[in-house]
Amino acid sequence: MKDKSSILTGFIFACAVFAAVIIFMAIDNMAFSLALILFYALASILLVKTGFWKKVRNSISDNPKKLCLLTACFVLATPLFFFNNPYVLHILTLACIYCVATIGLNIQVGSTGMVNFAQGAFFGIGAYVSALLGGHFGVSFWISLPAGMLAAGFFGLLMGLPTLKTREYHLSLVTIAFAYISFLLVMNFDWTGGPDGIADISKPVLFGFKIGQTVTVGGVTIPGVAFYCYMVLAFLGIALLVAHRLHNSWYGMAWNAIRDDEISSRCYGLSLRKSKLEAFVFGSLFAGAAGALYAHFIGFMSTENMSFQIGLLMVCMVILGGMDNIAGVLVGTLLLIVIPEKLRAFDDYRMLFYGLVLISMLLFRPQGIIPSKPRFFDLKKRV
Amino acid sequence: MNTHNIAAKPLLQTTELSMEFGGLKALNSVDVTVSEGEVVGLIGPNGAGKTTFFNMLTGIYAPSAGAINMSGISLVGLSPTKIANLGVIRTFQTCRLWDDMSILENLLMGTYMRKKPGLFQTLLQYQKVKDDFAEKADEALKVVGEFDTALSSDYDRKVGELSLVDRRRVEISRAILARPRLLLLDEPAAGMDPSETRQLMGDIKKLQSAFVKMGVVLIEHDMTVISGVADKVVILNFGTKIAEGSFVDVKNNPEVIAAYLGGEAHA
Amino acid sequence: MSVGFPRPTDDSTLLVKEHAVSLVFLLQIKNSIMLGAQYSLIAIGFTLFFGALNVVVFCQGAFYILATFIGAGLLSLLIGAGHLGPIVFGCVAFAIFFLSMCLTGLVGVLVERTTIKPFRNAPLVMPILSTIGVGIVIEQLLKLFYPQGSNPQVFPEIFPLTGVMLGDLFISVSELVILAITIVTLVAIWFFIKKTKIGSHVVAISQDFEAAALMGINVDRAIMVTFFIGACLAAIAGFMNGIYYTVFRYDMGAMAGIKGFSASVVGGLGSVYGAVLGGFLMAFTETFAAAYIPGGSAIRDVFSFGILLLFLILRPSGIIGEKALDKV
Repeated sequence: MKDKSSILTGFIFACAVFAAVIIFMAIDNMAFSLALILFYALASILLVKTGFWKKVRNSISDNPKKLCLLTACFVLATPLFFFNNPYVLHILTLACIYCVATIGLNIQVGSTGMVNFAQGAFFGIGAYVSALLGGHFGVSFWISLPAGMLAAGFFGLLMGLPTLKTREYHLSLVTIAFAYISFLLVMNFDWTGGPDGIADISKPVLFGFKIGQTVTVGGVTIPGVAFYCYMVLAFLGIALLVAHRLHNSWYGMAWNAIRDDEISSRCYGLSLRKSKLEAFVFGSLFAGAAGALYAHFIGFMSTENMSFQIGLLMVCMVILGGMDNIAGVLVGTLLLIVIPEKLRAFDDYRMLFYGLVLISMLLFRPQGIIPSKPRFFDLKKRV
Repeated sequence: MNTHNIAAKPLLQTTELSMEFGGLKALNSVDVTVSEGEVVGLIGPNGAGKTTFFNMLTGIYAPSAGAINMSGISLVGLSPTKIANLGVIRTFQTCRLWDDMSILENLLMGTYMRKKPGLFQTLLQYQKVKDDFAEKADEALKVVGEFDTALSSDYDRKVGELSLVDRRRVEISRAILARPRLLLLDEPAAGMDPSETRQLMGDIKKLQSAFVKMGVVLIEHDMTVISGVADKVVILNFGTKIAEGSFVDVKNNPEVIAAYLGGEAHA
Repeated sequence: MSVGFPRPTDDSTLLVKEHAVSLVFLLQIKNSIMLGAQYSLIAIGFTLFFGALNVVVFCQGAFYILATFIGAGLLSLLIGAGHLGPIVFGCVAFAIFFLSMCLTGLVGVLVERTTIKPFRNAPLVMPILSTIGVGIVIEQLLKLFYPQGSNPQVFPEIFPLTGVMLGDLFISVSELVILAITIVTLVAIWFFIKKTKIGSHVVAISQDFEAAALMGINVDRAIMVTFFIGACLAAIAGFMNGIYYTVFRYDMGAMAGIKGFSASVVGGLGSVYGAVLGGFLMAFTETFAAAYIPGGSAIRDVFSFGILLLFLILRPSGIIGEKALDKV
C-alpha cells in the first residue's frame, strides 16, 4: 500500500508559484524580467532533477480538493495586487481568455490527435457574432455570448464533416483551408466591417453594473479591468470544470482511443464520426466563448485576431504546455502570452520566439511541460 | 472440448465469401459456420487468408462477393462499429491496444458499448460517472487479474510499456469485457512460451464454460492450442477452404499435409 | 498579417472595355498557366517528400520565399556592380539563379536532417508541427535580418520589356522564359525519376521504405537527394513568382506552400503527374473565378480552397491516386 503523500509539499509549491507569479508580474524592468525568466527556468529544471517535482505531483494527486481550493484562492487574490497597475490586469485577462480557447483546442489536438489550425477562426466567429449581435441589435452580452458559442459550435460541426474522411495531414489541411476561407470571407463582407473590423463593442452589464467601469470604494480605486478580469476568471473556472469532466469521462476516453488507434476503436464499438464531431463541436464552443469574451474586453475586433497565425499560436500553446493535460495547457498559454508581453522591446522577435519554442519543444520535450497522466478513477491502489 | 452439440443454434454463417485485392484472390468462396458455444480453429499457412477472413467479419474490408450472416443479420456492408455492437469482437495479430492509455483505461474501453452515463450526467451529475467507472473498473481488474495479478495491481501503467505477453492478456481481457457473442482471436499464443500457452488454453476453456453461448474463432499456428481447445478445425490454403472437421480427422487429411509441407511447415 | 499572391489584376479589368471578351478569356488562360506552373512545381516537391518519407513538409513555402530573397538579393548586387554586356550579364544572372537554387536545396537537406529525421518513427503529427515551426523561423529570419525585410521587395527586372504578339495576346519575354523554365524543369524531373539511378532509388523508397533499405539502397542518401530536389523546385517556383509579379514579401511563402500542398492533394498525394494536374486545376479555378465571378478577385483563394474541400469530401485520394486500404 502506498502512503498518501503529505499535503505540505503541494502547499509549499503552490505558495512558491504564487509568489513567483506575483513578483514576475509586478516587475516593470525588462532586464529584471529576463533575468527572472532565466532564474525560473533554472529553478524548474532543478525541481525536476532533484525529484521534488514528483513529490509535488503525488501530493497534488493525493490531495486534489484542498490544493485546488488553495490554488483558486491564490488565483482570485492575484488581481488584488495589481489594482494600481491595470496593464498587468489587462495581460492576465487576455491570457485567461486565450486559456479558454486553448483548453478547447486541447480536446482536438491533445485528446483526439487532430491538429486543428482553425481554432483562431472559431475564436473569430464567436467574437464577430457576439459583437455584431450587441452592436446591430442591442442584444445583451449574456445572450450574445452563448449565441457566439453556438455559432462557433455550428461551424465546428460544419468543418468536422469533411474531416471525417481524412486523417493527419489531410485533416490539418482541411482546417487550414477553413481558417483561410473564413478569414477571407469575414475580411470581404460588408456587414462584418471588412478590413476595418468592428469598433466600440459594448462592455457587459450585470444587474445594472457595467463590467469594466472604474469604481472608487472608500478611497480605493478599483480599475474597470479588474472586474472584467474576475468575470473572465469565472468563465475560465466553468471552462475548466467542463473540460475536466469531459476529459475524465467516456468522452475523453473515446477521444484518446481514437487518437491511439482508429481501427481498434471501431472494432470496440466507437463511432469515429460521432466522437470526432463531438471533439470539434466542444472545442469550437470553447473558442466561441473565448472570442466573445475577447471582443467585449478589447472593444474592437478585426480579422487580424482570427487569422491563421492565431490558430497556429494556439497550437503552439497546447504543445508547449502538454498535450491532453489541462493544467499543462494553462501553463503553456500563460507562458506564451505573458512572456512576450513582458519583453515588449523584443516584440519584433515574437513570432521567431514562437517558432523556436515549437521546434525545440518537439525535439527535446514532445510531451510538453506537464505531460498527461493516466486517469486515476479514485481507486485505491491494490496490493 | 467434446461438448460440441449438433443441435446448437448457428451463430455465424459465411457463404461463398470472397475477397479480391486488385485481381489477387485473397479469399475464394469460403463457407464457415460457427455455432453457439463452439470453438472453431482456423489454420493454414501464412498468407492463406485467415486474417483477411477476420477483417471481413469485422467490417474492416467489404467482401467482394458472398454473404455473412450473424444470427439472422447480414454483416455485409455494415461498419466495424455496427458489427462490434452486434457482438462480434476481435483481437489483433499485432495487438492493437491504445498504447498511450493505461491498462485500466484500455480495459474500461472494452465496456464502451454497455450502458453508460451521457452528456448530461457527465457535466451536471459527475458523481454518477465516477460510480460507473468504479463499478466497471472493479470488474475489469477482476478479469485481467485472472491472467496476472501484476496487471491488475499496476493498472495505471501505459500499455505501450508492457511486454508482448502482457499486451496479449490485456487485449484478450478487453475483448472479454466487451461481452462478445462471437469472439475472434488472431494468434493469441504467438510469442508466448509453452507454459504461458498452456495457461492461455486453460483460460479459453474457462471462458467457454463461463459464457456457454459464446462462439469463438481462433487463428493459431500452435497445434497444441488447436488440438486442445478447438471443437472444429477449418483449414485455409491460398484463400480456399481445403478441409473442415475435428482436429484428428483433419490432421490425417492428405491435402492438408501437402499444403503444410508445400507451404511453411508450422505444424 | 495579409497573405496571398499579389497579382496584376488591372490589365484584365482595363481591357474588358476595349477588347472582345475572347481576349480577356485568353488573358486568363495565360495568367492561369503562369500561376499553375508555380503551384505545380511546389506540389511536385510535396509529392516527392511524401513519397519518400510519408511526411508533409509544411515549410516548402518557406523554401520558396527564401529562394526568392536570395535570388533577388544577389541580382540587385549584380545590377549595382555596374554595366555589363548583355551576354556576361545573362550568364552571371543564370549562375545566380543556379546558386540560389542550390543554396535553397541545401537548406532543404539541412531541415530534413535536423527537424524531420528525428521524427521518423514518431506520430505523424510531429513532423507536421516541426516543419511548420521551421517555416515560421525561416520567414521571421528573412523579415528580421534581410535589409528592410518586413517591407515588400522588388524583384530586379532582368528581362527586356518586349515580347511577341500571339494574335491579340501580348506575351512578354519573361512570360516566355517562365514557360520555358517550367517545361525544362518538368522534363528534368521526368528524366530524373525515370532515367537516373538515384531517381529509381527515390521511387523505390517511396514504394517500400524497408524493402528498399534491405535491397541495399542507401536510404539516407536517397532522402537527401529528394529533399534537395524538392527544395530546388520550390526555389524555381519562387524565381518565377519574382520574375512574373516583380513584388514579393517575406510572408508570401506560407500561402504558396499551402496552395502547393493543396494542389498535390487535389492531384493525388504521391503522384508527380497528379501534382502537375492539381496545380493547374487550382490555378485555373482561382484565376477564372476571380475574373468572372463578381467580387471574386478579393476572395479568389476561397475558390481554390473550395476545390480542395470538394476533393477531400468527394475524392480524398485525388485525381490520380488509389484508395489505400488500412493495414491490419
